[in-house]
Amino acid sequence: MNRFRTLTTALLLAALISTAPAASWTGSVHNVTDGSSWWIHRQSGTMKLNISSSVEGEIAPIAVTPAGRVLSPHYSGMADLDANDVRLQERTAALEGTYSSEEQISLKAEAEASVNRTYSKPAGSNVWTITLEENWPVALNASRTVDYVGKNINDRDRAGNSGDSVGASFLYNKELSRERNVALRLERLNATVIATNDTIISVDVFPTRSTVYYITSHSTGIADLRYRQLDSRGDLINLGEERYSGTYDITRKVEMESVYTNDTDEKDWLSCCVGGCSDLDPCEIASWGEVGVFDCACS
Amino acid sequence: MTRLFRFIVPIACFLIFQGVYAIDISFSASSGGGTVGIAGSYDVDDSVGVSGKASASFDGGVSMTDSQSLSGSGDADIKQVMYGSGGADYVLNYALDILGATSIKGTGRSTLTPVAGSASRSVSTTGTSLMTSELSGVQGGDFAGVWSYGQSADVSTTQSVDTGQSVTASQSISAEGLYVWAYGGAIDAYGNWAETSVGVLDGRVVADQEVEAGNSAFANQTAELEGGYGWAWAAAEDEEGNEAWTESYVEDGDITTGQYAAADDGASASQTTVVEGEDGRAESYAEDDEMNRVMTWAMIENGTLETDQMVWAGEDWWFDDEGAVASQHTFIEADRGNATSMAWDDDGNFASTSASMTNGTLETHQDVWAGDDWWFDYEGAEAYQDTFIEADRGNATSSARDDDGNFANTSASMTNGTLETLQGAWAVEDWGDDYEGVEAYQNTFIEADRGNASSAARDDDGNFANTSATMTNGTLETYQGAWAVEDWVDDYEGVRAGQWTMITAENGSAMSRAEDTNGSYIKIGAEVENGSLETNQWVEAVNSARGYQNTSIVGDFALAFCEANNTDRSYFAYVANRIDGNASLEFEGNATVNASEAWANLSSHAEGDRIRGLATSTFGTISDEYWGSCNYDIVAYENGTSGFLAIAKGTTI
Repeated sequence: MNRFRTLTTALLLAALISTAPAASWTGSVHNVTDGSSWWIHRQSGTMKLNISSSVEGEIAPIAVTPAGRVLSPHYSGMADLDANDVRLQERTAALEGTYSSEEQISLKAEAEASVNRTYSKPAGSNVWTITLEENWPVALNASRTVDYVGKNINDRDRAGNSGDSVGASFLYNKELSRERNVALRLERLNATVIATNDTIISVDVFPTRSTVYYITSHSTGIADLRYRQLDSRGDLINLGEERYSGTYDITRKVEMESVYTNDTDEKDWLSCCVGGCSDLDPCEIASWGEVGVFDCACS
Repeated sequence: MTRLFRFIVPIACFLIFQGVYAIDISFSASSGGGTVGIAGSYDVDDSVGVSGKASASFDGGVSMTDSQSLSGSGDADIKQVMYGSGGADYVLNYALDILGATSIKGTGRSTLTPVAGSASRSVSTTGTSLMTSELSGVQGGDFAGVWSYGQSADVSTTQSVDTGQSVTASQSISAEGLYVWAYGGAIDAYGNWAETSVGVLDGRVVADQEVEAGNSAFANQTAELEGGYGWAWAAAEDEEGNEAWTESYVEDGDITTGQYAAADDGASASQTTVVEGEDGRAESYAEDDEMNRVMTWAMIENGTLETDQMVWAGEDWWFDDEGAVASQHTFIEADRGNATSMAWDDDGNFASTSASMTNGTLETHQDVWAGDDWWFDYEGAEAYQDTFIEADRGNATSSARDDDGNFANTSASMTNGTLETLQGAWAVEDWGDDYEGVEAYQNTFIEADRGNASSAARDDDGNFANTSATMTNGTLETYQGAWAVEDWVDDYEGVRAGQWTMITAENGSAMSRAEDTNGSYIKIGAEVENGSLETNQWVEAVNSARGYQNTSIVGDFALAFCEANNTDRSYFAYVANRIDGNASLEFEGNATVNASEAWANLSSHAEGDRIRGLATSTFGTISDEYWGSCNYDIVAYENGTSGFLAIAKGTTI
């Protein structure tokens, strides 16, 4: 019953996200002279999402046929939220044991404001300035607790915000107790491209955003913690990765904030979208199921 | 995205983004299944300033607005694509190419939704070596676009395009230079198309053009041009192949014109035009899918031409008729002027009417038609004119020729005076009860130094008939015609010509002649000097020839005669009255010739100083002379082997 409730919640979450009305825009600059190019694609919607759930139960084998065929005991759950590059990913898989969790997610996004693009090249100059301005705010708050004792549990999450990311992976734990709170804010995004007739000189993407990630945990397997912060040109400016194998009690709080005025020619920034997600752990972006969780070799 | 849209966008982008030194900037937005976007390619000199702002809105569905400006000097090559999809997919294309401009100013705006888009672009250039500005749109297979072109020119053009229920494009251009040109074209998904164009060499143009495509195609323009050589035209063709066009051009002069062309269940074109120049012309043409054709034109040398012209080709204009129609109303004041209309049907029947003059004025209404099923089963070609000429020389002619070779013509001409005529000609089949043939008529009044009106017909067997009236220094009024027919009533066929004519002049004459296939002919005539002549004449030839006249003459001199001549067997019959001095003659006569005899007779009342009666044949001549007043009955007869001549006179002293 508990397992059923958990799966239902996950499916409902996926359904709500996927059916939300979407708005998107794309901007690009291509210099024919040297073939240099840049593009940006953004997608969001005007939506609200609130989820709260509580699970408590035993992960145990059950007989599913009169002949006595027994299903192996397991639990798996996942969540993917992505509104205008404000993301939350969660993956959990557990074998036979005692499992309980509580979770609350609140997502609010707006995509009604106009997106503006300008370009200019003054007479007497060969310098082109192309700007893009978006005011599609997103607020995502998520809290989650997990308590497990049993044969094995893998529990991972990652919070991303316009290229910044924070996450934790708890793998091969027989005991796991964790509490996590995430607050993600995106206010607006500005982008500026400077080019001449010969090449694209610079690209700066300025998403005004803040990311707060708090976690406290007790684990008996592997605990991986990581964070990453990018500047306006997509260059990595802050990175942290830690691995704990064994029994640990961990408490951590990460706060990242990037505030830009609408004057968009300040610093070097690059959005996550420019670099894509190629630098993420493949296991974080792969489809997660029971087999994927327990056969994962990425750790 | 529809299949069409998926096809169009890559093609458009491929064509547009081929610059070697260019920056491509694109911006698109999507929401609710709809997409809008704008993509531009910019290859401009450093001396050219460019700026633009686009805003994508998502409130109530996605949309995009765009504004832009351009300024500076030098070269600029700008191409833009605007599009919408997710509703009624469309693409708008803009291309601006400027070389060597001393100044450039431009603005533009766009409004895009997934189902409809509109864009406008304005650009002004001076001292441009070469410039083109093109704006077009396509939606659902409907296309409309406008083009402006200038070479060594100053060009100012405002263009716009709209999609939605239909695709429309328009432009206003003001340009001056070595060569300037403006064009608008539209074609719908079914193949109906319409175009309009204006251009000038070494001159200037001010024009407004508009085209539209959407289950039909339309094009219209108003234009003023002045230059060494200028032209303006509009054309259309419907999906069935019916086509129509109208155009005007001038050398060393100017044109003011309004033109319209449409392809909508048929094709039509019209113009209202004023041409002033050394050489000028305005003409219109229509052709239906069966090859019925009509054409009408007016032309001048050193003068002014004002004309309204209309042509149409298609089916079911009124009931079940089909064919082509043309008309013109024209006024000319020039050294030389001409207005002509022609019609050809698909069987080879032909009709034309024409008026021309030298050093004067000419005003004419002309109509021509060629087609099938007009009213009931009637088919053929017709041409008419209503014309007034005041000039040194003037002429009006109408003629018809049918597919069997029957021919009819009527003509009026004058020197130093006025000519007013209503005339027409037609070549037809199945008119009434299988009647077919050609006819030509005129009703003409001439007041001039010299005047002439004549009508003639020749049938496919070689029978010929002619009637004419001529005068010097006076007036001539005539109603006359000629026809060559087949299957008239009970299979009658042959040629006829006739006239009723009134002449008051120094010299006047009216003659009629008919000649059969053997070369035998009859000839009747009347002449007057310093007086008046009124005559009713007719002649016909049907394997024989005969004629009749009833004539009244008052003047210094009078002559009336009837002649029958068998040229094949070399015999003839001739009767005549002649009066010299204070002449008054009432004359009625007949002449007949066939394979076996020639016969002529007259009955008259004559008054004058010297009156003569005459009868002659190959056997001899008898005559009579008298003065005062008398009545004559004169007969001449001959059959090749025998004959007789007789004069009977009754006198009154």
